This record gives sequence, C-alpha cells and structure tokens, in this order.
Amino acid sequence: MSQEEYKPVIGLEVHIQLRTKSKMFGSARNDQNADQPNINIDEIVTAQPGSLPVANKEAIRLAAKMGLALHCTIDEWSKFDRKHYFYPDLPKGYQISQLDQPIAKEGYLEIIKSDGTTKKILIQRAHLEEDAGKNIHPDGLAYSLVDYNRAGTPLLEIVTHPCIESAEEARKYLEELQRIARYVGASDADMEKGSMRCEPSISVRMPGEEGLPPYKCEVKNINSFKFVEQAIKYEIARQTEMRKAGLVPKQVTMGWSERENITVE
Amino acid sequence: MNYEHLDLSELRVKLDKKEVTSVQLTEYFLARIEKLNPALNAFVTVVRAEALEQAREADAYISSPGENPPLCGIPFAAKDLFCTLGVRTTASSKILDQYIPPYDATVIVKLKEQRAVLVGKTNLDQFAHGSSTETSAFGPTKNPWDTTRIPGGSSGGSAVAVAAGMVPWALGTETGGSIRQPSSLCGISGWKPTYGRVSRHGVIAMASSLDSPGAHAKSVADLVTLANIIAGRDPKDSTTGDRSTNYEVRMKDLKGLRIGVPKEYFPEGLQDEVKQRVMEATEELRKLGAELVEVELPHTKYGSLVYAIVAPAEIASNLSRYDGIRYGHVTGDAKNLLEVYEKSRSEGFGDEAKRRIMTGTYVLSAGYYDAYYKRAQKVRRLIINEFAEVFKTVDVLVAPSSPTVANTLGKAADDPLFGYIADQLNIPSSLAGLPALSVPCGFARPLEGNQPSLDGMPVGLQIIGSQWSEQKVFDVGLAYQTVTDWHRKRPNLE
Repeated sequence: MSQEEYKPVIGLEVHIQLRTKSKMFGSARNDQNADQPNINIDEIVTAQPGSLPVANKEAIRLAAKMGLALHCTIDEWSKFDRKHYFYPDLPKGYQISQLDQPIAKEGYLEIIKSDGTTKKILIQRAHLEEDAGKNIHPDGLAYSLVDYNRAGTPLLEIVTHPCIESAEEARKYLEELQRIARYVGASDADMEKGSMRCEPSISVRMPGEEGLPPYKCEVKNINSFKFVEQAIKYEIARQTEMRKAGLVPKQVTMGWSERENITVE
Repeated sequence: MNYEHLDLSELRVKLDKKEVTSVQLTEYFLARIEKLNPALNAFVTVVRAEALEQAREADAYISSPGENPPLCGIPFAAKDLFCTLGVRTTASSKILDQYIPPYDATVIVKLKEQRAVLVGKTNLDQFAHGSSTETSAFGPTKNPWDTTRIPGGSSGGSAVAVAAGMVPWALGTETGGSIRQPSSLCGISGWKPTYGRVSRHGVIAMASSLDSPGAHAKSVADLVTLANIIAGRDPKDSTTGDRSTNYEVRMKDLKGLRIGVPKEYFPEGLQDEVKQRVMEATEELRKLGAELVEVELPHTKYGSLVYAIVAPAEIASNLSRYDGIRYGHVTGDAKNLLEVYEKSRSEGFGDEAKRRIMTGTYVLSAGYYDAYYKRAQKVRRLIINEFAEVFKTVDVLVAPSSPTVANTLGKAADDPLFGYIADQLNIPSSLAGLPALSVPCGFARPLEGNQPSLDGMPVGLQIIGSQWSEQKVFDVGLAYQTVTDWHRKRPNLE
C-alpha cells in the first residue's frame, strides 16, 4: 500500500497578536518590547478584586477587518465567554475568549501550491481573546516568576477546517496569512517574536476511512514556519507507521524539540 | 449638638454656615464609632488619621468662596467590598485580610470629588454570601435595636452604622436582598439601584449580572441626594447605562399613581404583625391618593431556584482570581503549584464561599451547563418578562422587605423555611435588575428570643419599580416619609 493512500488530515490554529495601543480589555499599554517585567499592567491586567474588562474597540475593528480579508461572515452580534483554568500566568483564573459566537465565521484563504495549482484553505472561525502572562523558571531556584506584561494582549485566533493535506500546504497557508495580517495592519505576525503562533493538529486517515480519523495530535511551541513544516512531516511519518501497523496513535498534545527535530510528549 | 440625628441636608446647612467644621463633625462620629463599635462590630477598619486629613481638606474647601458640593465634609462609611486606594479592603474574608487596593472604586472617586470623608469600612457576610452578616471572618455585627439579634445582611455593617448613628450614611451593595433586608431589620432607608445605574468598577464582585452598589441612609430624601452623586455612566463599567441622573425630591401626593400589591409577596410564613404594618403602610399610600391594585406574579416561586444556580455559578467564576499569587492570603505550606492553589484557597475562604464555588463549578461544567445554568437563565427571562408585563398596569409594587423582624443570632442558619420565604421577597426583582427602596414602616414583636421593648423590632416596606424608574420609586418613598415618622425612630443605645 502506498503512502498516498494514508491521507494526512491537518488543521491549523493560529494566534496573532493585534497591533493595538492598549490591551484587549483595558488601557494598559500593549507593548511586546518592554525591557522590564510587570510595567505594562494595571488593576485590570492583574485582576485586582473589583476590576472589570472594557472591550478594546480597535481590537474589534482589526478582528473584523481580518475576518473580511479572509472572506468570513462578520456577525453583527457576538459575545465573550470565560474559559476557566488555574495557572499563575492567568490572573483572573479564566481567560476571556469567544466560545460559540465568534466575531468571524466560515471564510477561506487561497494558496498557490508549488505545482502552480490553487487551493482554498477553508477557515472555520476567527475569534478574539486575551493573551496570558509569562511564567519564568530561573534555574536552580525554588520559585518561579510571573511577568504580566503580555497578559491581556489582544489575540485573534484563526482556526481552519481540517482540510489541509500536506506540510507544504500548511506552510503556504501560514505565509499567506502572515502577508494578509501585515497588509491589513492587524498584526506584525512574526513567529520568532511571538506575535504569531501556530499549533497544527495532525491525524492520518486509513485507506477507505470515511470522515475524520478517531484521534488527532496537536503540536505546540513551534516558533517558525520551517519548524511547523518539519513537525508536520515528522508527525505524518510517525502516525502513518502506526496506522500501517494497525494502531491508533494516542490523542495527545506534543511539543516540538528543535534540537532533535522531533515531537515530544 | 447630637449630629447623629441630622440628615444630609441639615448637615450641609450647618457646615456651610460654619456652625460646625468637618473636622469637628468627623471627630464626633469617630468618637461614636469608638464607643459603640465594640458592642456592635459594624466596622472592620476605621481610618482615623486619613479621615481627619480629608476633613481638613474639606474645611479648606468650604472656607474658599463658592458653593460646596452636597457631601463636602460629611463623614460616611463604605461596605468592605468597595476598593479604597491605600485603605485595607477585606470583603470580610481571611483571604483578603491584609489586602490594600492599588486603586479606588469609581463610586469612591466620585465621593472624593465631593470631598466626602471616609471614616471606615463596614462588616459584611464574607464576600456578600449571606443575609445575616454572621459569615464574616471578623465576627457578626449586632442589631442596635437588640444586640442579641442579627442586623440582616450582607450589608449588615453599613445598615448598623447608619441605624446607630455612627455615620450619617453608608455605601452598601445588593445582589439578592443585601441592601433592602438589613435596612428593614435595622429600621433605616435603603436604595437598591437599577442594575447598571451605579458603577461596579472597584466593587469586589459577587455575581456579575446581579451586583448593584447602593446606599443606606436616614431618609429617602438623603438617598435621592446620594443617587445624584453615585449614579451614572462609567466608561470603566460597560454594564452601566446612559440615563440622566437628575433625581428630585418632589414633595407630591400620589394622585394618579397605581401601586401593585403582589399576592405572592404575602405568603404563609409572613409574620402577622409584619403583614399588619405593611398593610397600614399601603393604607397611608392610598390616603396620599394612590390606587392600590392586587396583582399576580406567578413566577415568583422560581426566583430562589434560579438564583440558587445563577448566583453560585457567577460567584465561582469571580472567586477564581483569589489564589495568593498577586495579592491576598497565600499558604506558607505549599510543596508544589497545586498546593499553592488548594491550600491558599482552603485556608482563606469561609465555608459558604466554598459551598458556592462547588455548586457553581458544577452547574457550569461541560455536560451540565445546558441543564442547569442555561435553563436557569431562560427561567430568569420569564421572571423578567413577568415584571415587564405587570408594570404595564401599575407604576410600582409594594411588599414587605422581610417576612419577619430580625432573628436571634445563630437562628438564621437553622431556619430554612424562613430563609426561603425571605429570598422570595427580594430575589425576583434582583434577577430582573429592578430598582427598589426599603423604608421603615413600624415595629413588630419578634416571635422568638428576647423581647427588646414594648414596640418590638423594625419592619420595612419595600417599593419596587420597573428598570430605570428610580424617580417613581423615590416619589413613593418620599411621600410616605412626609406623612409618617418611622424613619426618624432611633434605637436606644444606652
């Protein structure tokens, strides 16, 4: 049986930081180049008791603009939801995000593949949310530090349908998305600097398998397009091996090891 | 001069005429607090030095030419849910025992602009979870009419501070009765604003779709003065509305006004004498020209059930931020991150907070959200619509604020029946975001415990209006207080 019959099923989740003066829900400065920790903060960013979020109009405008650039439908009615979990970089104990009524829905982005053919990558949704702070674990110390400069930064999360079929398509998608984000003025969309983040989800379909495979593996902490491409290739190979052997890969979230060029649990 | 008998307009006249200085007034009330607080425990924090500094500044301003703002130089207290810059704010909980906010609530900023004088922070049920002020981590507050009894809650400290003449007025908050009920049990006037009338920015959150910061004072006229100052659109609170704040003290009769008396607010379990006082009050309103109409609100009985789901859900979410990492109590005993969370929160939160976190987390969890929270919000919509319908035929509703007078300390927890009925009287209008007043309307003898005096304990009448109809609600309260003097009665504190 040839590799082609084991078809990769890939979806991409991309977060871009929006280029606004202030944070998503307050007037603390949005500046990713702060030279000291905890200076771009206020009572809203640090979730002081009694603080309330106020939506950033420019962030909403940029989100709608990106949505339109991606041929999405921009709903006239949208809302925010609270996503609860406990972690030190998440000051409120919940992230304000959008669950079931995202600002933009059902669009696409067209890529030109290396063989000259075009393909529409279908986008399921784009929604607004706030970024978390950063945890820092100094070597050899019995404590960790938290920097809230990044907490509350506006993010647009863009999710494709699982219609990407190769690492090359994924890379073309990311490059085009970056171009659009920069052209529209929504984001610097720089993977190395963290203003664009990508998490691919990869699974492999058995020959003749209908619908989506019964698992998927998500890869996080990848900081360049090249590494996204490599991670996807690695996963396709790893998963195809397993499926050929009749196994179903475990549904996990993995990290990318730059040093070893492999995904790790 | 007994300044504790004067209302805000009288204090303003004395200050403007220089018959008394703000420093003298502040010293006077600070002395009363020092004398009375040991027995009543109304205050969690008293800020003597800061208050006198503010009073000196107020005096300097009063000496300068020009008109003085209504609250300039007048002392007040704030329920310990209002963040006050540099002044300890605890929510009456161990988890915030030493918390010093780095900012002022919007309402506090407005009062500072008035040059009002903050003398201290008042006791409450921990995080406002309760209706007796008995769940405070700093001990219960006592009712000044009979110190073996509860003052009500959660704004018990503020209600007592006003009733006992420790301050001329105090800030409170209401989520499900917490201004109306203690006002009623302590014999003073209380205002629960329309949801969105007063900014919640800087008010420690209990249930975000219900919390309404408001006030306790000696008269409805005082509450009107306060409303004009603390109400208003706040860009820092997106849920505040844009309506004007030009409330007036209009001495009118009530001719042409239709007052609804809801059948469901006079249930079995309503104390007979309380019912009598309330019916006597409605008779006064009728003599003032109002038409009394019996109305029905059949969804009233679902109010407590909706609240039992919606409130804990919102509470659990709002309490997620208390982890000891940025402020508040942190355990000394953690071996890993999970223990930082588990131990800090277990040590810092009281039992009621823990109960509500568990319930709230459950009803919001995947698989249960639709069956509980979402369904409860749908029933809430029915309650809201029912009020909107009834307000097409009447201008305001009246009812008792509480089914009984104040219970003995320790009794409230044992008496689920009364808790349930008490909730029915306040919760539905809170769920619907409606404005309400509680005004004293007489006395009734308690059915258990001490008999404090021949008269008994205070009874309160509540007046509920449609959203944003504060003026109508004030009109009824003002008119009632021109033909009665229950609001001038004071407890004997000797």
